[in-house]
Amino acid sequence: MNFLNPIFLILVSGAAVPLLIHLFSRKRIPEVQFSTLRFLKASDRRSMRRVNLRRLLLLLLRMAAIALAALAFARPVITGHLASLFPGEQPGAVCILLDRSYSMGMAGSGETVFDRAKERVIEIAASLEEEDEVTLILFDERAVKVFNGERFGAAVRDILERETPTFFGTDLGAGVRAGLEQLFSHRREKKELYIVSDFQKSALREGYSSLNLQEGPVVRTFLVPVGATEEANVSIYEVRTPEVPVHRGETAVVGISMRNHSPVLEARFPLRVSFGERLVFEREMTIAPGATADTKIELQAEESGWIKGVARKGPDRLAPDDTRYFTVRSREKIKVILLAGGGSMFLREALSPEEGQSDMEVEVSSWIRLTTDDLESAGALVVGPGEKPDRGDLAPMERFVERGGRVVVFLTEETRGVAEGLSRHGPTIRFGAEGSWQTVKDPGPVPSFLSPFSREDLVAFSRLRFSPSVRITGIPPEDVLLSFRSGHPFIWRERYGEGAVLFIVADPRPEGGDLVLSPLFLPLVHQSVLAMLPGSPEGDGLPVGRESVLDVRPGTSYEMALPGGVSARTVRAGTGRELVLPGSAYPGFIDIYEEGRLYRSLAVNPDAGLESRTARMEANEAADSLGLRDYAVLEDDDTVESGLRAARKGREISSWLAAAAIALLVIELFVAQRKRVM
Amino acid sequence: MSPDRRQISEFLRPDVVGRLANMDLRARLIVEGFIAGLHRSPYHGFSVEFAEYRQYNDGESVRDIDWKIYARTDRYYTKIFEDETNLKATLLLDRSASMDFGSGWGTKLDYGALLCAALAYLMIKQRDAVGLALFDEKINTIIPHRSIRRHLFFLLKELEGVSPGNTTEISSTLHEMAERIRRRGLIVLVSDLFDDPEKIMNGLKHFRHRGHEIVLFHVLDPKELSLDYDGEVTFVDMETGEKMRTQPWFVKAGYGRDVRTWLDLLEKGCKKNAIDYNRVTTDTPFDRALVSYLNKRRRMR
Repeated sequence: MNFLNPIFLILVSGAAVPLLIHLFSRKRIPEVQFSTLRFLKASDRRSMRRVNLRRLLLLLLRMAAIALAALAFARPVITGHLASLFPGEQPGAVCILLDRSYSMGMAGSGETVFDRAKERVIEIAASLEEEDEVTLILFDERAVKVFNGERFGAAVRDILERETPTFFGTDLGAGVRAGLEQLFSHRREKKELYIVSDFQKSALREGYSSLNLQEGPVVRTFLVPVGATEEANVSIYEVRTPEVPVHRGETAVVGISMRNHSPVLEARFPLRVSFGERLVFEREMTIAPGATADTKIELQAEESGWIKGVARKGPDRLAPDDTRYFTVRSREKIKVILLAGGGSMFLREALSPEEGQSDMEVEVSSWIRLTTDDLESAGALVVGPGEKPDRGDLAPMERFVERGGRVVVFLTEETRGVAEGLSRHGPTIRFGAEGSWQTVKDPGPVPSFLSPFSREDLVAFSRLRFSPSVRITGIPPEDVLLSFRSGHPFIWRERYGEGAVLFIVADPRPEGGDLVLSPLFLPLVHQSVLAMLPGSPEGDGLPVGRESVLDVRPGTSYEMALPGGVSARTVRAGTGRELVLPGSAYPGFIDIYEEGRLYRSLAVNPDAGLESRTARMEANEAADSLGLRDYAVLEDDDTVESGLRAARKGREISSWLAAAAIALLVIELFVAQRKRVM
Repeated sequence: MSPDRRQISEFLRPDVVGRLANMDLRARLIVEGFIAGLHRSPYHGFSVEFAEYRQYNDGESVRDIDWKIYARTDRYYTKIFEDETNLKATLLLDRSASMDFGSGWGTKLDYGALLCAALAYLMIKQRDAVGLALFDEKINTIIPHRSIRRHLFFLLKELEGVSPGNTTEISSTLHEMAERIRRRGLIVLVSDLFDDPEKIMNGLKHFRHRGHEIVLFHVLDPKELSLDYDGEVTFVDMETGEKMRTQPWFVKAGYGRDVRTWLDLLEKGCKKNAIDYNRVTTDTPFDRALVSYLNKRRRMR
């Protein structure tokens, strides 16, 4: 029992006052001369025993009344099972927050954590008063109100029956905020908040470290944790696909990352990967406790377009993170316009080594012949030496880049004007004397841009000599992909508008040094163009529920099919170039059709980084982090009948005590007929 | 103008009379006031023999005017009558310690003494022979019967100096007095009768056996009937000194029941033996007691 005003406990000593008065008055009983005692004696013999008993009763009544009144002033609050003996308080406002994030789908002994959570909600409903106004909010990353009203107990089973865990993570702060806002808006004085959750550590998102509840009314909060503290679980948390499209017939190297979240149990499971609806990989995997495993799989792109892949591991207790969807783009032929004079032969050979088999359709043109129609149909533009553009030729090229076009510029003295015109950094470019050599600095690990190259290739690259030496200043380091030993940029990339420009400081002719004649020239040119192509796939795609924006052609109709067969709708892109993709509630693939043809396929996966770890925090920790004030934790092994009541912070019983004190005084008056008894 | 009876009765209240210091004055106030008040009562006179004429005063009844004298003298005179002096009245006043109890203006003994004084005054005024006996456990004082006016002085002096005595032993006293008073007459007993009712009735029967008429004034204090005390009280018996602590409010009901039983017993006993039983409390106006006496006196004529 606690006291809200313990200072008033001093008044309990006042219970001794009637006793003192009683003892004091005993010594001061007045003596009265009376004519005869003959009648008194007879009556007294009959009555005095009862008088004494009644006197004792009165004394006890008075002492108890004073003690109870003093206790009432001290505002006692009883806790534990005793609290359940007192009838319900005034009807209040109750908000139940039920976590339905995908970690709640953790299975075990025939039921999921969510099933257990639903049972707890039903038990909570049974413990509430019928007149309590109850709001049931289901939350994951968002909070959704599914019930609001009285007589919750009668409706709760029907409401919960159709609810299942989602594929979203948990944002506990958002859920609690929604619950508190609901309660704060309520006029009823008694406010209770129940949070039924597995209290994943990942549920405390940034920005909700504290809900700043100091100003609001008091809400009695009950945290009802469900599920074990640590669950054995292995998740496929990432599938890495090639950044650049693969050509049909090529192999795409796909990396699959898995993590064993159990700190003690070794995980053994089969990993199966299907690609283009064919099972292409199956292997028994073993991951040590707490370890991660990366597997690289080579997948043959046997068709062009967007190829769907699914990586599945043998199921464990949390199903949603056992499957991961991904897409690989197998590219079609791309139109590349080559603008180069005398040096165009080497570049053309590099871009399209064997005519007809290349995935690029190279069209050799010149600055004079180039039209805007050519640019409209082109995917990329390669500018080499041999020709100098006029000043006015650069404006259409800039527009081409802004609208999403890609340009690769081989920077020589002839193309210097193009480079200066297209770079937004305003670089200073100075050429050294003919025959002055420079070499490329070994970049260490292979940058993603040069992913087809191996380490050995890069070491070989660093031995090549380039002439003449070029000194370029004004390029921000983050744009530089490779540098010369002198520190000046060798390859840099600038993005503006929707497109990008890649600058390669090399002359693609024999006089430019060792590059043209080296075996590295062809893949470098090839990769430079392909890596710049639009629509690089997103690997394992979007997180569940996340909206995204896609670049599309203006004025074209697109139809979308979302995972789970939830919706398929037609969206017209209008005059803009952006198509807004709605967040998908389920993992799978979003297919976007352009005029009946599959235009794009995007994978959707739950954010395994958030929920798969299944590391539960203590409910106290969650409550403290959120800044909850008046809370109690109801452990999973408690029963609601006793445990939930016991977990209540207590009931203030001052009004009961005051009523009891008044009742005792009334009894005292009735028994004593106070006028006649001191 | 004759004074209003109601106003006169106000003067006959014991607390008013008790303020007077002199017993003679007190007795006179009671009796004269009482007689004046009787002018409008059915009692037209209390004497059978003519005593004297007195000049008519305004307000007196015209029926008492002697018209023959008026014819002779042309003045109004009224006739005053006197009773025969053939009654021997004995006043028995209990002066036991219990009679010293009083919660109001005075004690029961004060009331009893005043009552005896008034009766003696009235009786002497009617030429009755009056004797007085004071007693507690035994007879303490006896004043023999006389009807002369000087005798009143002795009676009143004795009554004025009366003080409480010891315990009550009424029955033996009554037997003793019954043996002493040979000639039949009127016995007026003024007592609180705190004794065994059966013994008291035996004593009174002894008087009746001797042919006496008895008027009994049972004097009680109002608190003896109501037991109206607050809180816890230790009662001290005034006769025995015995103490008893009790809650009066609690024993009150039983006490009242016992007292009523006792009073009923006495009243029935008196009625059975043709004794005029008058219960008076110390706040009862004296005229009621005197009327009771006069009623008895008339019946004895």
